[in-house]
Amino acid sequence: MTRYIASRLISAAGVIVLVSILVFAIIRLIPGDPVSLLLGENLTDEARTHLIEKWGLDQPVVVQYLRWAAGMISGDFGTSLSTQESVSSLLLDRLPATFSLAIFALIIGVVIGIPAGMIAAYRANTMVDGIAMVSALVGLCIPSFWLALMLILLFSIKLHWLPVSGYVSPFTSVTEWFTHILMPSIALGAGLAASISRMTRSAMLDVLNQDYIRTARAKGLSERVTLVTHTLKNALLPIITVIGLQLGFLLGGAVVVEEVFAVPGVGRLLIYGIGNRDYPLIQGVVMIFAISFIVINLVVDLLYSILDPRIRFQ
Amino acid sequence: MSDERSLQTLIRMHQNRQISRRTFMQRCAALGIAAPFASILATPGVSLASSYQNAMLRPGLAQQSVELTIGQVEEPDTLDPHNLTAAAAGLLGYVAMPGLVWWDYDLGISPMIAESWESSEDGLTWTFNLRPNLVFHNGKPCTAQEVVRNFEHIMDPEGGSFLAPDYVSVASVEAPDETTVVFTLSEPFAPFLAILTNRCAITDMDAYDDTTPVGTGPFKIVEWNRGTGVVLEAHDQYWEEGLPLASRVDWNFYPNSDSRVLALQAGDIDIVYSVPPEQVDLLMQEDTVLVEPIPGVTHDYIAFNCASGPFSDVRMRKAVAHAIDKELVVEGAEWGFAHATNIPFPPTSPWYIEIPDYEYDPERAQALMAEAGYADGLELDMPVAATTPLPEIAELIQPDLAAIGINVRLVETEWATYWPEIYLKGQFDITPMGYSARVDPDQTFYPRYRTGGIHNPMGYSNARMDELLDQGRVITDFDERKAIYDEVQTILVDELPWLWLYLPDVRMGWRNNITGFQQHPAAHFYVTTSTKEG
Amino acid sequence: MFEPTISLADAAEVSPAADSWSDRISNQIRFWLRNRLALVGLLIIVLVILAAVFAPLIAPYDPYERDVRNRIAAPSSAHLLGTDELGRDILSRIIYGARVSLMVGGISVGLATLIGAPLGLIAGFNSRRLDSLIMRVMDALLSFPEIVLAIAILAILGPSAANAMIAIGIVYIPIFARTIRAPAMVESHREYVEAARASGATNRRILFRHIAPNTLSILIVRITISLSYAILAEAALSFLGLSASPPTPTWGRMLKDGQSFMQQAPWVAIFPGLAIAITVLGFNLLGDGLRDALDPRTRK
Repeated sequence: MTRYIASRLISAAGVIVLVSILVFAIIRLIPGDPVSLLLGENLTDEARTHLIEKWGLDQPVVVQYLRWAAGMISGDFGTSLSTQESVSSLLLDRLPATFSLAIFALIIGVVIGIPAGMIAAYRANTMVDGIAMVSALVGLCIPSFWLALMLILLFSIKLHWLPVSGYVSPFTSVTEWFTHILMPSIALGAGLAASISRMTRSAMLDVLNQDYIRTARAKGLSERVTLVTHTLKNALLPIITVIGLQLGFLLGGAVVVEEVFAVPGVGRLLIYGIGNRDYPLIQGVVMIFAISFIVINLVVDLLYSILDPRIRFQ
Repeated sequence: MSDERSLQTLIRMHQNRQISRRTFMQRCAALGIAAPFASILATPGVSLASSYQNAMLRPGLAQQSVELTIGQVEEPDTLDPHNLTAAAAGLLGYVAMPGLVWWDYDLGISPMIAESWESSEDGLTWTFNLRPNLVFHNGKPCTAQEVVRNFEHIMDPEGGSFLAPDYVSVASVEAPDETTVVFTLSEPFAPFLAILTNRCAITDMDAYDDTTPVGTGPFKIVEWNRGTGVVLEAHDQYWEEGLPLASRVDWNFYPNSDSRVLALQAGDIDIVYSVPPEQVDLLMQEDTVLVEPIPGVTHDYIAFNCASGPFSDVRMRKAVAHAIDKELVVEGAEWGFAHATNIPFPPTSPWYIEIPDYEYDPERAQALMAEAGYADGLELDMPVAATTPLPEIAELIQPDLAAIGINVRLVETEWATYWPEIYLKGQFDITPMGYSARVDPDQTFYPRYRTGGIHNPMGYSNARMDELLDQGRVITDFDERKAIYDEVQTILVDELPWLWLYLPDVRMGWRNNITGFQQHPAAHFYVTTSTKEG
Repeated sequence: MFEPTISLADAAEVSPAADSWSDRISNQIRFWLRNRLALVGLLIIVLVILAAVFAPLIAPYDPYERDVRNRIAAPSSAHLLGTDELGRDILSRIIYGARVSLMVGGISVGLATLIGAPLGLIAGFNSRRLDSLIMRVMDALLSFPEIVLAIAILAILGPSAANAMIAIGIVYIPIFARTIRAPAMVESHREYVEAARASGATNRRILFRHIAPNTLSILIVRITISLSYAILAEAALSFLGLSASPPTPTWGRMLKDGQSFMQQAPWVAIFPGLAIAITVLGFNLLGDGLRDALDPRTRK
């Protein structure tokens, strides 16, 4: 087990290094320089030279990379060019909104997706199953940003129930936080609920047809007990995989949804960073995305290997 | 006489919201009043002055805690006092950290923390007299020495302020006593006063900070909640007795225009900084909300490559001028809330000059193209920055150009690539663009049309123009300068390195219980005399 | 919305073993029900393709014809789906918009298949070292949220329909590589490969003549489902202003423009969104049906 964990950790670290090189290289390929953007109409040659030196953009790219990578190891993601603040503190400012969004969306996905999938599997090939699966399919097909607009149209413009956009920290007001985060989370969570329910249904069907479930049923255990204790437990493995992988996808989807609802999260920070060619900021955000994704995958893999010991020996 | 009466009735009806702005403008046109003037008439200036007086006559009002909530647009990157962007200064800087002088509502330059100033005969010495009892938000007196320290920081090439290049002609700045600041210039520099209005914040250098900087303005910055807003509170030692009227102002950021408008409709905010043009009519139909667009000073235009390609021939540029229906562009891109123009100043500006514009005449345009040797038309790419309203402008002029045989393919590019790589490097034949307002004509024209100017990617070059622009910098007499810039504008309209399209209106919106609020034509934002009734 | 990185084909919905008579019948019903849905999917796709190809014949108006005085007009008999902010006919723009969606979707998935599938084959068939090299690079690519990677690529290349194809294509390469690697690995340990090798066949021949055809059914399912996600991805990118330049009509862009008029003219945003959802539904239905028909695990 320890060996397995160690080898997974080493390969994850390798991927992170590879990702950091990729990020750094990609960003420097983007045309447009941060200096003239920041100076705008105040652009003069003196001001430009001054800033290029100040930001170390005159150094060789390899030196710039090594400096950045070394800083990152000690938790320092550098200083944003346009705001002159530390990237770490900008990220810490924005992460709560994105995490609120992702976690809420995940809850919506799980709370709707798993029961719907279970019921669909249990009542396979009935009307209930049909309705559940068609709605899941529709959920997969609706673009999150369009769903977002439709939610705004209904709940904000027509009914005036929910605010159109923005974000309030839960430490300021829990109710305000909730009303602001609800629509973006639904927009983000709908597709998730759809894929979780599809996955749950098929995993449950797999298990329901295993011999031991039949035995349990034959033994006269109540249906509910069978469904929950035996079936769900055994179907959990593939469901967890899907959820784990979807978390990374949620972070990406958050970029678009945050844009629609003007949620001050990491996704908007990224769009802003790209718009201003703020190299350290883009690098920081993308690294956070990539690291979260890699860590989530790692955790899922390890969880998997605990639940199913065969994995380790493959 | 009867015309004058009906005009007064119209104004009253408009102010009482019995008729929409559009109807008002139409009826004004029927009375023979040109659109720019009608729209000035439509501004709520008269009622404003009286409500301000009313507020002043009731001293108790200032003690009541009036809290205003403002819907701002984009969050500033930084509030570093000497590195404010134009937008951040307009939104917050001028209110919290005013400079010596300010760009006033009439587009002139007026006293701010300096109550008066004079310049020497030769234009080399500028003496400013500060207001007495000038106190920073933290209680420290703002003396002439403090002001000098600010300018020493701004002018220091190593000090890190973007404003430094503006002050290269300043040889020294001194404080002979507590309330006098003297600038000595190394050469006459006419726009010196105008430069002082531009983002030149006076802050307490001992408390220099880029999130909650300290100034002498009517409101002090208490807290900046990233992503949400900035909280300001009244400065109780503000130099002007009885002001500000509000005790607290919440500057909230609403980057999404729909949410800004909905929040105003719902009464969650009292004043919105910018109403998108397509929503103006919608808000005008609301009883509880006021929207009164006034002529602004930003300008949208088409830039030509004058150095190479088909538009290096002035006849081709004139052909485009004849081909474009400016009124249609105004209607299409700004929903009618803008003024077609051929120069960068609105009629309200002291630098305005009336020059006849090119008529919309596609046949004349085709004739000019034939003269230039393009009788069979041509095809080219038109780069467009993906920033509203530039793509809309491009979409609107594309069919006009196609009608005379210029087939353009739009190539939309993000601003971050467009500005440094395409625009500033002159990688275009023809492209729509917009520029923000400048106080002084030198700032407007010198960098853009002087041969080799840093903002002259058009490659425009004209010896007479260079001569005029050089003179305009050193002559200080207003009438002489006016004559120079009249000629500059006449040449520009004739040679068309830029084809100006229109000046978008400033479109702020506010609840009808707000008094003492006036829109600034450069979209600067002041709420010193604003308060809420009921 | 972007594609979840799990391959839906990996998470196959294995149909229950049909033991009892009633199970067998319900299985049949399900199979046909699914195939009927697949048929509906196919029909939708054919209709969208026809609309795209014959757009000039079908569209009631020129999609570029502006009429500012008749802007954001509500749906009427003259304009069935209303007009947009420049007075252009929304129905005609949706019909023309199908061209960009299908083209970007099709070419990007084609690109991803042509590069990703061979990489997967090679990784699955070859030595550990090559396998792990290819797959680590794929892992690195996969650890960016896909939209983030696509936005970054488009920032480098500049926004245009052609570059959107390249960006989405690059983003989907690792997905195809992963999908093909597993079956290629299984196949390469089969006896017939040993037999072929014993008879002196070259690696290349074994790979493309013997192994590749056996992964084809999985590939087809993957392509169909990826098409639906690629169309969604294009819509998201053009919603962010990163696909075709105006005035070319694209569904995502139309939706974005409509966002400003949600109060006065909701139809400007509603209809392009429906067009996206219906087209994506078509590909998903077909993909589900094909999977049931082609997946060896369900083909009992």
